[in-house]
Amino acid sequence: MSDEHSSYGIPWNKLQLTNLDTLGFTVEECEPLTGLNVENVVNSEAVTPLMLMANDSTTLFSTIHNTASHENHLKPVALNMFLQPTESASSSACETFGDSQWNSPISEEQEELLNLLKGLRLRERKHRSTNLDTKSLQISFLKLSVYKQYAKFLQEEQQDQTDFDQESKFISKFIYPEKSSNGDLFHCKLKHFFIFSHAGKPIYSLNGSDDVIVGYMGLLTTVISSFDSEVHSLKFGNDMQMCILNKEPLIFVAILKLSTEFKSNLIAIQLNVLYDYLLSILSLTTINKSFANRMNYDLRKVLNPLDYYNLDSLALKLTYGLAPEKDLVQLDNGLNFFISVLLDRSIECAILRNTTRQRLNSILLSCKRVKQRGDSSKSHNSDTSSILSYFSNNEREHLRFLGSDLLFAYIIDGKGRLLSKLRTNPHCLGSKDLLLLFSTINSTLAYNSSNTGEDYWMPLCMPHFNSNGFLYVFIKSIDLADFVKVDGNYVERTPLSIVLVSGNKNSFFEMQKLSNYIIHMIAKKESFRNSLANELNFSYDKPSSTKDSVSSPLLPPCPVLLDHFIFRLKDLEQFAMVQHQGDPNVLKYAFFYTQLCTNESTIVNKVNKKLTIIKWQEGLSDAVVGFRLCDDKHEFYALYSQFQENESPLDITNDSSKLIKWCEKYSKRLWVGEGAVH
Amino acid sequence: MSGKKKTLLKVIILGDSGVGKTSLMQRFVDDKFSQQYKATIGADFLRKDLTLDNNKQVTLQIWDTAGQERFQSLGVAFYRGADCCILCFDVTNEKSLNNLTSWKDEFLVQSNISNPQDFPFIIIGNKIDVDDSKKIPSLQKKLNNIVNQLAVNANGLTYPVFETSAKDAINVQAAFEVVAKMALQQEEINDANANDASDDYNDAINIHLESEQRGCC
Repeated sequence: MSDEHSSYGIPWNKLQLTNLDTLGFTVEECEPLTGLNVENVVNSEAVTPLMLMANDSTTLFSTIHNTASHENHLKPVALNMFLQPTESASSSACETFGDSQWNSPISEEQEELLNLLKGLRLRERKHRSTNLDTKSLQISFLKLSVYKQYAKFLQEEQQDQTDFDQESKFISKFIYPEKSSNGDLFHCKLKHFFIFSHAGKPIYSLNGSDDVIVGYMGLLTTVISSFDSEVHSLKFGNDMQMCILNKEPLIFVAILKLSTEFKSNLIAIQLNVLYDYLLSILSLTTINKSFANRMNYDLRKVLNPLDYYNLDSLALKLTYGLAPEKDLVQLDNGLNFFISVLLDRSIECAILRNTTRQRLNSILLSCKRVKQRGDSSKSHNSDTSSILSYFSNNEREHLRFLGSDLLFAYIIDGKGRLLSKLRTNPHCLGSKDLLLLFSTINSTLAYNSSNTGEDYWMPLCMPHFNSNGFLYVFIKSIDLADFVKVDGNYVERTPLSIVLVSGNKNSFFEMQKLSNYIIHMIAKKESFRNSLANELNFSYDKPSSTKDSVSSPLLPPCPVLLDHFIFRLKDLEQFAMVQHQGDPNVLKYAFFYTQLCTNESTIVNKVNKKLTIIKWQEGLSDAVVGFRLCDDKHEFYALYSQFQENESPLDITNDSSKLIKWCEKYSKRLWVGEGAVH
Repeated sequence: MSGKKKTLLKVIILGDSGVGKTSLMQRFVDDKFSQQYKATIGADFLRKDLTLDNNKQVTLQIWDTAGQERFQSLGVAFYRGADCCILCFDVTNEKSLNNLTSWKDEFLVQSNISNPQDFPFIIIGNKIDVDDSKKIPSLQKKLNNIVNQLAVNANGLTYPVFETSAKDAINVQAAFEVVAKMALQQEEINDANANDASDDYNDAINIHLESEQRGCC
């Protein structure tokens, strides 16, 4: 690892404050780093968010989170070390820096911030020494004690159980959906989603049976009838919130006790995702028709068990990044969907070398040029050898394009990451629709996981494309590993799905042939197939085959402390994420990223670059540090763990800036971008 | 699969304050009765599963409203999308009987029902357990008048009338079974009408690559 770090040419200097140009931005376009937002959870006891604008003493301020209701951890402590300048250098700097000093030499700014950071660490340690009696609260803090209900739960449970037992009990009691009529279990849940009609008839509930919820639906209908707005939030005390999305004739409600989600419009987005799902299976026209002139319509009549499963799956992934058990077969842990929604419904791209991606793009593009013989006897033949004949240029007059109805084509992997895409002008599917499409595909495949290799053909309304009509989606899943037999090379299990979206409901056979053509083109050449599989399966756990020594490694050199990072391109609404080693701890990531995303950030300079650093104490000695830097175009998120006391947050800044530089340099690996356009 | 699901029916109970709407519902849902009078505030919501003679399973979602004038502003939210409406009066209180017409009109105005002449109403006279001396003089005659008056615009429908006692559990179960049957019938008629209308939507919408002008980019 250390070798790789030096390859950057940037000194691995512990206490050097990063210049902004190493954060991936040029010096001309931005001001020096002058602000930090440090949120600190000391000994699981204190939340101390501090906002400081070091170069302008008049804007020096601090905010303390209102977490007084948290009984067992995360208590607020008014700890504001920046109001009393500690060292001489910083105090003078605070007073003398005015607006005229914005362009002062970076070194002074660095010194300034450095001193502040030192002060912070000193105070933090001091505070901690007075609170050593909280050891009992630290059982697996990182996993579940992020939920304040967990500590109380632990007290009630028998102590002789393993952490694992307790955690799985907690998850099934507080998190996983419970459809029984047991009212106690219903009230335990940390989050509820309800969908019902304006008449108060229930349509969907994440938890509880009709017995439990019918009364509440009536009550909610009555309460909601007094609000005019489409989105409405209500807060009950400090630890409960209700959010309402009113889409006449339907009402969507979330009720939650998850304090991390309180201070953002996240819940409204989540409710919109559920609304979009109902639109996707029914279309706006159908919903409106069903309720026209009869408000007593019971929408449950047209929903089937798969729809309820999909709604459960969406609700769980949205909130916790957890997938229902069936989805695990698909290697889908739900984290990518969670992050997608958190990042304003962006699409996750698989990291691939540019040449690989270009090749996939050109395969998709060539779909539009594949022709079909006029003779129909051959058209039902899906054998790959006969597909080649579609290519032949003979009898040009009698041929027609096989893909004439094809609007969009996508190749996605088993985790729902996008590899390559095709669109036909002037049409375009936005990321909101794409996310809906991919998650529907994923859960449909998971739901029917016993029948692999089937072709699926389903009508779906893409509400942001056209909420009145249906598009027809063809899905074929393959496993690259199945093509091993052909030439005896071992290829790891690599599920891929070919998704073809047509505007014509009668084009099933054309789409089926096209999918066979695409699969043939991907798999026919051993070297391409192998490199595709290698790149898709590449991770830090499994250092890649010898091939990679020739070119640069697929992934950036990984900083020692890094757990996970995300890089997002805002205007394309695409992102890529990398897990350092092992499996992601989904609940933990969901908690930390939600905080990173919703916490206030400090504006670093005039061009609107925002920085957030949050530190969560984990155990007595180490901490998790979350880092977020964003501007108009990019967003970078990273989580570092096992952060020791004697390490400086500046290392994090340095490491992050290297990652950002790498991401920008290899941006073509991270994004699918526009993809192929016909 | 959807056929197996119980049909959910929304039932509204209306009537003057103190005629025993809540008591009726309590008797039906929990088989309980309380002597104490407690005015309903806003509304109460209860549910009860019923199996009808033809083996059909229904869930009644009962909206017990407040009879007091000051809660009438909540009306729209309550009445919207109801499947059946129970009009309640007190057999010892003539005014509550005379008010049934205005409760019905109020309901039809607020609920915005598309075919008011077909909408199922049922009339319940509660508190028959009390002494005959306290009852409204010549009750049957007056009741018939009111029922005829109520049904004047109805499509040849006669509204069923039940005389009940929530206190002694007389006729309550029977009344709600009729409610369920009527609401279910109405529901099935609605469905049949809707199926005729919805035949076209499958074909009507089709996005063609050439003709479609809407792209979102």
